[in-house]
Amino acid sequence: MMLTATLGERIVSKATAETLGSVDGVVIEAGQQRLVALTSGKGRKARVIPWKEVSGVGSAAVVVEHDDAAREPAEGFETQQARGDAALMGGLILSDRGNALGAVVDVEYDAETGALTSIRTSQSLTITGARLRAIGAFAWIVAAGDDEAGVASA
Amino acid sequence: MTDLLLRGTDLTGLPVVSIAVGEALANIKDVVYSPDRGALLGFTLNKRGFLSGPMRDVLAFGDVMAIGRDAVMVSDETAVTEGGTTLTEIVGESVGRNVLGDEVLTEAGKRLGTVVDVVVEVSTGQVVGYELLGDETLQAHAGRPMLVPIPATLAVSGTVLMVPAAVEPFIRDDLTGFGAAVDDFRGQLPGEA
Repeated sequence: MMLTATLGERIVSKATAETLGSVDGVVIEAGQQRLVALTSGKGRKARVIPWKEVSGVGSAAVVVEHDDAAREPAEGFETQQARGDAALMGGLILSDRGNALGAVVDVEYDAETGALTSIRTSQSLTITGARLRAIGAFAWIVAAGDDEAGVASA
Repeated sequence: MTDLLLRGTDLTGLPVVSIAVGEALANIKDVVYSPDRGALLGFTLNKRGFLSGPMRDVLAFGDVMAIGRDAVMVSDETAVTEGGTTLTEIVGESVGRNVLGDEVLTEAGKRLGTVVDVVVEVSTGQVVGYELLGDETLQAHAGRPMLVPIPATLAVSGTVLMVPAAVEPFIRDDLTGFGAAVDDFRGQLPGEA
């Protein structure tokens, strides 16, 4: 599943069939290379829906287990990403060797587990999810790979 | 075999980025270099953003994980430290000991030009050459920048850097191929092969 297809989807409760909001972002635990939550709302009003509360991600909606699936983001990276303080889509991708690999244009993930499969960059690179090391306000840090040679400087 | 080569001025302004959290901690202000050891010691730093300006914190080369074309990578924020470090003392003592503008002479007494930049092998922190503004008497390079390989160690005073006379055939115009010129030059020096 591509993240750009998920962003903007409506969030529907499995218990009541009510529409609870829309997907405004995601929280990625970089060390686990995994989507751990969806976010709904922006800035200080952003709330997170942990992945275990998500029962299905389809082409028409994201279905969550019940109406109370959303909660306040936890301190740390969850709050940073939910509030938009860390760069997600459009964020700079930097290898741990200090070379820019473009900006994030999309993320492919496993809709069942949330595992990050790959990161697509503005320089037409596909970086395997396993290379992700950190996501911060400045950049996504990925382990260096063979794709660095010939990449234009940012 | 030399690796990625960059000019010292290419490093100026690069962000210092934490690999652990993806945050930019500072920008490189200046390169701190030991001419007699031919090695990069570290960097002085500027704050980032709106309140940018010199920081008291410094970054020692030993705390650098990698230097790339777009950033200087450190493991985490503890790499950027203030005070009490050897590097801080060196920076304090080195005021006025800038190699930029120094005269480069060969051991045969020929003046090659004045230093306008240093060339760094980023993986090792070795300074492998100088960029000079060619002296008018060096006809091939008069008035143009040129890259001069240097030995691993060389004699320096406050204003003069001494290089072997044998360096002249290895002078280059740009960084492409300069790494090979450094290897070839050093390979034919006694004790540096």
